[in-house]
Amino acid sequence: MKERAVQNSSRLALYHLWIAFGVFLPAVALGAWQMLMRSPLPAPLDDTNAYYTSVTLHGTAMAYAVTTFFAMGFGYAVTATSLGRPVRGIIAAWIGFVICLIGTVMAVVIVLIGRATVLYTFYPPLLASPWYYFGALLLIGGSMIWVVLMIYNMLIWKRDNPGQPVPLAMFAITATAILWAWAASGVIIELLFVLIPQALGITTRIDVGLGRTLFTVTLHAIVYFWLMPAYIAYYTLAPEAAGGRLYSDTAGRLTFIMLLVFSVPVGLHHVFQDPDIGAGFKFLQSFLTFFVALPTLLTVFSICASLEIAGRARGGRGLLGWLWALPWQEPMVLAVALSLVMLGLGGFGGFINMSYAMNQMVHNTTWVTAHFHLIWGGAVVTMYFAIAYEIWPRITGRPLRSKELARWQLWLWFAGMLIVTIPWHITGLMGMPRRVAAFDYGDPFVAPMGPLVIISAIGGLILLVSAILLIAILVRSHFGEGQLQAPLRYAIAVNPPKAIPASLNGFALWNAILLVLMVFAYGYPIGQFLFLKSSVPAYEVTHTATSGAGP
Amino acid sequence: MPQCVQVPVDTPVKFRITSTDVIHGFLLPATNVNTMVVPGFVAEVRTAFSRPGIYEMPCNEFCGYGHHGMLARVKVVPKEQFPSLSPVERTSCAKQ
Amino acid sequence: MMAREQDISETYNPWPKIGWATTAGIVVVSAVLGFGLLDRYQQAGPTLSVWSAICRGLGISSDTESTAEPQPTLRTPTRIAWTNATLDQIKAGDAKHGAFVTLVCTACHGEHGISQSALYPTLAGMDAATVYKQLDDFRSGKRSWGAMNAIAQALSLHDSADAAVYFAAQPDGLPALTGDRAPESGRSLRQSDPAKRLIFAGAPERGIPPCSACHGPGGYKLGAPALQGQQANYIEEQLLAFAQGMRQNDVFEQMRIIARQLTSDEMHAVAAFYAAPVGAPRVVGIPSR
Repeated sequence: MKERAVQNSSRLALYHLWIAFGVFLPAVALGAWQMLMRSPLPAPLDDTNAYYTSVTLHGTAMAYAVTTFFAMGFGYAVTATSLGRPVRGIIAAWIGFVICLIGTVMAVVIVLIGRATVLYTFYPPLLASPWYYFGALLLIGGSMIWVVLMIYNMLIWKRDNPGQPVPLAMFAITATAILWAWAASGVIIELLFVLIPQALGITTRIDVGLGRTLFTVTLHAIVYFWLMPAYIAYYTLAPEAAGGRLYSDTAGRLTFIMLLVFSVPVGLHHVFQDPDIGAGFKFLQSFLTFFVALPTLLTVFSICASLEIAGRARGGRGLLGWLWALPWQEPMVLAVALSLVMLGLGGFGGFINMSYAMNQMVHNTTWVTAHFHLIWGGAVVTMYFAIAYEIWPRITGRPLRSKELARWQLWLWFAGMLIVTIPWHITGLMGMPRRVAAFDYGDPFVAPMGPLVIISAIGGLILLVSAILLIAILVRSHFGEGQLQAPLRYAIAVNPPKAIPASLNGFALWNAILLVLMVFAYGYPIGQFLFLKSSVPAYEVTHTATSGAGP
Repeated sequence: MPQCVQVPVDTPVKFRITSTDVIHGFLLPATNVNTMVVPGFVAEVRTAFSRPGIYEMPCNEFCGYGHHGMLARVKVVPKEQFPSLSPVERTSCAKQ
Repeated sequence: MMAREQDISETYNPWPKIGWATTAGIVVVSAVLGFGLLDRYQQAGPTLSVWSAICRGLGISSDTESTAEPQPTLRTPTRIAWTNATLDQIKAGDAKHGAFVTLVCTACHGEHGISQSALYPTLAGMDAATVYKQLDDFRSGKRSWGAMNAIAQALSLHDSADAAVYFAAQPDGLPALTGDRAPESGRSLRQSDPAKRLIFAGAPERGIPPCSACHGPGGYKLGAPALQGQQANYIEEQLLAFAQGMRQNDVFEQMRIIARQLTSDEMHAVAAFYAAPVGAPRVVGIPSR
């Protein structure tokens, strides 16, 4: 019976991860095509309309589908393995999976047929078919079931183990779930009260400022929702894979707490250039954004320290001698190093973006695109790959056929991502606007950007090869000789916690603080739209003769 | 949107912009002018151009299928030249 | 007493104090800086009072500076604004009555609105809002052409709406603009055919958006007429009229700015590309009706 329950939990995790990576590969292919399309190079099916549709699909797939399914699958895997028992509420989990899948399919299909070319940020007054919004609502809303299950599983474990510290991995994934609930609230409210009524023709005017401001609640916090599984791997899987110990359990807990508290009330830094928000609140949220850099700095330190412990335990000597002593043949260890390099570069770009004044130079240029591709597409997704390489063998019972191939795949991804993003940063500083399908490379202003764009496009093709390799490795992991794998082991801290304060074992205090910060940072910016009469007509991207909504 | 706007060099200039349809972007690379143009609101940007010349002004927020064709120009002229331009000439760079 | 047996609630927990103190500090410091200090100091203006700074920080200050510049004269290109009232009136048009109203139109615009003459545009299939607006522009004199002003003046607003809805419903004329199209190669700036390039990719260096973005196929803008299947000569005449400033009823001079930058060869080529014979296979779009 227990055997079945464990199997069921494993299957739950695996199905989620398969959807995540199954969507990932075509999305990468679209991205590579987009890079060719906007470059001076020839491209197949070069239709400018198709570019915008592709950007919508690529964004929707990567930002909503891949990430949500990955987090959910990883969350179920962490719950089962770190708590040492099957996931409770498994039927609800499967229902959530189906709802999210239906939503994803709805959104993907409607975008593919060209009825929702509004980009994954779907800023009003551009209006898509209501099917797109319903699809997004099902995907995001369905994942709330996962959120509830993470919290529920942690709470009943605490009830069954009074006085015990919650294992760090479980604590962290629950923090991730709570963060997602806070983050998703913005886009869910925007969908329910601003966009869907307009798309159905119930309202005939739309408040653009309200829609955008609600979306910013989601817009930054969501990237931390994406980031936290990678950080969980940093703290709990990497030290173990390196053969060492986690430098500090408390640092880990504090990191996830700080990420929870500081990644939500900072969304306005995505709209520094908007005329619908007052400068004071933009500054305020810029100030708060500095605090969300702290957990990353803490993480980089802790992980490097943990790896140093591992290196020295393996005989490394000297100031940096421990680096060479690390087991680099392990994909997880290699992934951490590559990821930290990209995190550093991308994080530096992030400092620029969040500085209210410097943002003026880079807003909506390709610098921004470069930044989030480097951070998410680079640092975070590399860890997703490494997590997949750890989880697949444990669930299928078949080891990775070749760790060398996995390392190749990681190196290719790293190289490709740097080749893609470094020129992009430069063209952004030159003033190249983003989300543009075609550039006249004969224009003397645009001409110098041409060679850089070509280099980026080549990087995109390298990424495509790496993504194909990833899927090949994962598929091969389903065949071949079965070998009982050692269960997933989490890193042990240098000083394992025996008794920790309640506030580092639960989230009541931190949710309260976050609520206060949200009211302070977002209360007026959202509330102002109730008395600012700023509604305007919406603009559908597809017009039907019988559509009643707006012009 | 005027296809070309003429302004004097070394003079404080204020742009006040709004949109009548969807969100657009207003970007003058190599200057501090970079703002979102949001329907229902007026965006105000202050700057002073220190170098004469022609600045390209691409739209930098997705605004529909024509987004890549949305480009205008700001022509920064020497201070002495500006007062002699008529209001019509200031919103067009074509030879009148 | 073993640490393990210690109840977790008894473990010293400094975090509420630390958390709330930090939060309070952040709130106070950022509020003071953001609303009371930093935005008081303006690079190109006098230092603001604290109250003004707070208002500006909230975003509720009004711009009280007046410009000494002479304001250009206001020019309204049309009387039509796409308000809900106008759109409702158009939608309420009665096609049956429209058939009666438009009997006189066939003399120039052809049977059922399908023009057989190079001088007059095909109206069959044209979006109702477009027809309605052009009729009103003729009525008010914002657009002038021959007999059309007198004809439009003789029509009431209701009649205009009926006529518009009637023409929109006529088959075999202009295709309905839906805003989407099946992707096809050769619709980017790589296209060597200048007409096709202008229509599908525009001319970014001249700030010309693709014609199709508003006029289709694969684009839609309220008030912009579908051009595919239209009389070539008519399209060319209108482009010339916009370029020379003879036609001025386009909002914000959008068409005038574009047309002024087109060469006459380009105007001719674009018009020829759009004018496929009625009934001939057209560029594939995704039907919505």
